[in-house]
Amino acid sequence: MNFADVETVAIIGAGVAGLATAKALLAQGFSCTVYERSESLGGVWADGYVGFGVQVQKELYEFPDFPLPPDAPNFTPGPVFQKYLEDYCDHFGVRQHLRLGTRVVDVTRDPAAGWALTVEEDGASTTFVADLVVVATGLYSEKPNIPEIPGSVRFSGKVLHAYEVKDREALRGRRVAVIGYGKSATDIAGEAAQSAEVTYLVFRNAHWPVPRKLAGVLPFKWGMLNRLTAALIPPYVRPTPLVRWLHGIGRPLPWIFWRLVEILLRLQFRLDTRIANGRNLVPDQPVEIDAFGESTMVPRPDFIRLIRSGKISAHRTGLAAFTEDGIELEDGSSLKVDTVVFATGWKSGYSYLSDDVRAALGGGDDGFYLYRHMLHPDTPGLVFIGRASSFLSVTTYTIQAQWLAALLTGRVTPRTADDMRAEISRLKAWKQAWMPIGPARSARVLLHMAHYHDELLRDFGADPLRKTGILKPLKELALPYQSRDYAGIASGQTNTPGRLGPGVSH
Amino acid sequence: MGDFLVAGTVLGGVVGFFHAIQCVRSRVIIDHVPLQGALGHGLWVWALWTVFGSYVLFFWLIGLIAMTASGLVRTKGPAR
Repeated sequence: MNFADVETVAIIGAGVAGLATAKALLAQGFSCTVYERSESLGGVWADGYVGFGVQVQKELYEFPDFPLPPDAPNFTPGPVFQKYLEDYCDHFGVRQHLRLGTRVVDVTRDPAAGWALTVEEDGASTTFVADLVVVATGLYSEKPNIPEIPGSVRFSGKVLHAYEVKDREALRGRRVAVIGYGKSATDIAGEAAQSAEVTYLVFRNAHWPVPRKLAGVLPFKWGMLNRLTAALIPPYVRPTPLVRWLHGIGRPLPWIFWRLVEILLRLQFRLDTRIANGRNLVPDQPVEIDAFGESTMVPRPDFIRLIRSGKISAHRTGLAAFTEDGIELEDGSSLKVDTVVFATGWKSGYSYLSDDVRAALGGGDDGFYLYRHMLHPDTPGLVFIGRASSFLSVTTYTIQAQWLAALLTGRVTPRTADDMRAEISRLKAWKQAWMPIGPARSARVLLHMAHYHDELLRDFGADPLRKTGILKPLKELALPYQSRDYAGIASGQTNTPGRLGPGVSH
Repeated sequence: MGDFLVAGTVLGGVVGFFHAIQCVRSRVIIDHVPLQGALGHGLWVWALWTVFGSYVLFFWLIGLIAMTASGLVRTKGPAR
């Protein structure tokens, strides 16, 4: 595809990724329209379950060139973050390009115009054309993932998905079973423990929790988001000679590092706590592998205390069937409950893409793979922004958006389809060799985000090492990477270090 | 103890030297950073390896012993 001919861009989704893309492309003079099915912008931040919010410190989850207001609380609550997105929209003049309450129902290739989008609004259906389509609906926006469980029709209680639990009152006085062990499951179990008659948490696999502060002292970013730690995780696609050495003859070093981390987490979270059937909360996978699964979470500080105090009864097993007045578990026990909350995430999918487009994207049990997590050689003109999960999602999507802007303005040299296929094959083989299986494995970056950011920055000729000052190499090694390190990149100054651009204020 | 510190420092210095060369090459060829800046970076890398070489060697030895012991335990007992 000749990206130089692109003039009109349709962006699907007005969440973080969509807004960052609109801002980056508008700044380069492209004509952008953002289609959002909801009546308010923000994507997952527009509406969530009771008590939902950002699970990392505020400096890790903000736009690099538009920091959260100083008075915004840490671990930003969902409504505060949604308001922040509104402010971002106004500050960068994105609002007039939004079309809220419009549902894109079909995206198909148009031989003449590039792409045709069928959009429903107020019951009417209209078709628009665009040279380029940006899919910015995130990984999990299709529909709630509620597994098929035998006996659900005879269950006399309520079956809810996590997103339907809007306030604590919905659980008051009830006998609640929460299914899952991710962020939403532990949040809702925590809420239920405050108001329900009894709260059960049922999960098949335990995962290593990430503490807000390591050993109760050091914010977790210091132990997880610096380049030293990034060198100790399983090597990236094309490891440097040092990393190859470190994971070859130097293997005892990363091994002992992660075992010490496990000991720290076991002690800090008291993971040896006995739960139902004499089991405990110690995960089966090593922490450096489990961290690349789909349930990495920073639980509320009181989560384990609630389990230890008995306010949450934890059952490490699967849900086998519903009965009339409760549920049966795979370990043979049964629980009398009148409310079952599935905190089992969302299904990944892009049903609005036409059949031939979805066929071209391919994909198996772990989703479809993309070049740089954005492009597929067989769907030119279709770009995915936000299909890469990392601990700095807002920053990652912002860099992706700037990468796209650079591609469209000729600052990134487009790769040939064969080059992209070769790169995708390498990425796929690398992930499938060691990363835990899951429907979004193809999109996981997580602790490798610094390496992914490096790739994108190198593509448009920016220095990937963002720290500044005379102690720069030491800072690179030990200091955590956070949003403001990419402030120059986010404001389009791709050759400047990570300082804030001028004129940013609330 | 003294011999261990010397051995670790020498080892760190050698590894650091090769790492520094690789860093300078990478910064100049891939990241297009001026040679002067890249050399400064390399110097830092070499110095850090040299200073912390004995600590790295210590943890490597501890890791080697623990990893071997863990492997033996796992082959004799049930999987975790």
